[in-house]
Amino acid sequence: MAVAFAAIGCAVGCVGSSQGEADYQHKAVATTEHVRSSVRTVELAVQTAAEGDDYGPYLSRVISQAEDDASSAANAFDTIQPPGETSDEVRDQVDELTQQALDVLSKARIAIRRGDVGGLVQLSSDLTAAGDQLEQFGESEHV
Amino acid sequence: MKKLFAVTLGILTAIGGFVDIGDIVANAAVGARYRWALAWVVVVGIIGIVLFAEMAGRVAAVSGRAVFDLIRERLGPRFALANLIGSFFVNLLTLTAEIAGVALALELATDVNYLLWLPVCALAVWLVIWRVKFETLEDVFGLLGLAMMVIAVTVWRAGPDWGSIFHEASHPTLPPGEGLPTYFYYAIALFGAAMTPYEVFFFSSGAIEEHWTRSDLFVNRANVYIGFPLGGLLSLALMSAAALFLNPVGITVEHLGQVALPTTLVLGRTGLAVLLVGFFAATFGAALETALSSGYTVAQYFGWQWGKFVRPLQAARFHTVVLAAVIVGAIIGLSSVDPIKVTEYSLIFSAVALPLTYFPILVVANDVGYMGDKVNSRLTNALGTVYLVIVVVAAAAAIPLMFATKAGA
Repeated sequence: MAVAFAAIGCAVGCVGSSQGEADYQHKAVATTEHVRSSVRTVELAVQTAAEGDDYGPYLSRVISQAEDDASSAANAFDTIQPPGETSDEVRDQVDELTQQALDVLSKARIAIRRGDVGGLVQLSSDLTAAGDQLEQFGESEHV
Repeated sequence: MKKLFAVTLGILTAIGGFVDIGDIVANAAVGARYRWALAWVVVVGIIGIVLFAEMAGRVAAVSGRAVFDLIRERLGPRFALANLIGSFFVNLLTLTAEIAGVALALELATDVNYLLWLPVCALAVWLVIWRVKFETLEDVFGLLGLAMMVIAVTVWRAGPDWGSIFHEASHPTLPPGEGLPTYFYYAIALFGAAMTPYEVFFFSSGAIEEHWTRSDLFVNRANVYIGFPLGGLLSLALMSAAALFLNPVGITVEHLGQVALPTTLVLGRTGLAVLLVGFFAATFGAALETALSSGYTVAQYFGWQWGKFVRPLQAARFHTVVLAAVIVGAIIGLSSVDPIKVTEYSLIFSAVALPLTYFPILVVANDVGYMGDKVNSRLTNALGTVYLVIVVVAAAAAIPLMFATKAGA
């Protein structure tokens, strides 16, 4: 049954090759939205820590999963062949934005695993900035 | 007084036991994506499960026999076998999702990977089924499941604009950039979450386990007409919490931890602790129900001795099926498939398999030979027919929509 699941999962959810500039752009926006979701998740998690009523194991798990998700989305996008030169620019932009986001998410994960709640809270503005940039990209490139 | 206590306890356990991993994931995912634009599906689903469970409970109480026993006798062994295969597959999928759900709840509480918890959870599920009395396990996990009420408290404490929520729910519109196929894909997932077949196998077999008779029809109605709708409110609360806190910042629900964020923000560590207990109880209780349902369906079809009201040695084949289902569920869960995806697929396949059990129950509930003067009323039949159309349409559309929308991507 696990094999059947993998087959269904691939049939309905695998990242396909790009069918043109517009399709590539669509996938770029979907990737940034995915990464933004992870960034915003961690932003909310940090907000609970800032209020001093946090629970370490829960925060650690939420942040790790968000980082894993963002990383998977970025890696999946990198495997798509850009169809032309315009797409190369889009790819560079997405790479830059997702890398920035992944850096902040990694810092958040390191901070919470060290029990450094103060350090985690300090990342709040970086998370907001990374999320906003991803959102702006999505709005400007939406096709 | 004793009767009142039993009815109250039944209602409370019906509320606490209503929500499972499918409801948690589907309602939160839909709330984060569509806000209240699919709230109407929850209402349709709750009316459907009330209708379905009331018929199944009444059939069990009046005839003294459970669903699969009657399906085989009334509709013949071939139809019943096809029914058994489909229902067992969906049940196994749901069991996998529930065991993984217990492990995910423990993962959030401990930060230990859910794959390490999964075998422990599977063993605990089997041990509880093996050792604990039916009434005890039903009451304990049903009552513990009431901890999920903390989600409703979260929404209430957030102080939303109720008028605007009602307006959004009663005037559903598609968010920008969303297509109708994806909207209906999620509608079917939500419908599948509310009307999961195992709930009815468990409810009707549970009635036999508790030796219901005609005199217990009042308990049946109280559980179903009061307990289930109140349990359904928890589904709406899950949707609302996600709509209020996750949707505005563009969060897509992919993990159980994200579902807990609104409660953590509003009620802090205490709220989170209560919610994690609720997650654990809801998923563990549902894992027990689905594991038992696997045994119920197979044993009832083949005419074996079944149930926890007899000693395990007397129902050895029933307990073997339960154990095998738990082991297979755990193995699938351990194969590194995403547990949230398993949950989503289980909801879609639940919708596909629903007519297989809904239709026979509707037939038997109208059969004077089994039901005597307790056959369906005209109103129940009218509603039952409308829902037959709904479940058939949902079942037919589920798989094409799953492929067309890449599982709601």
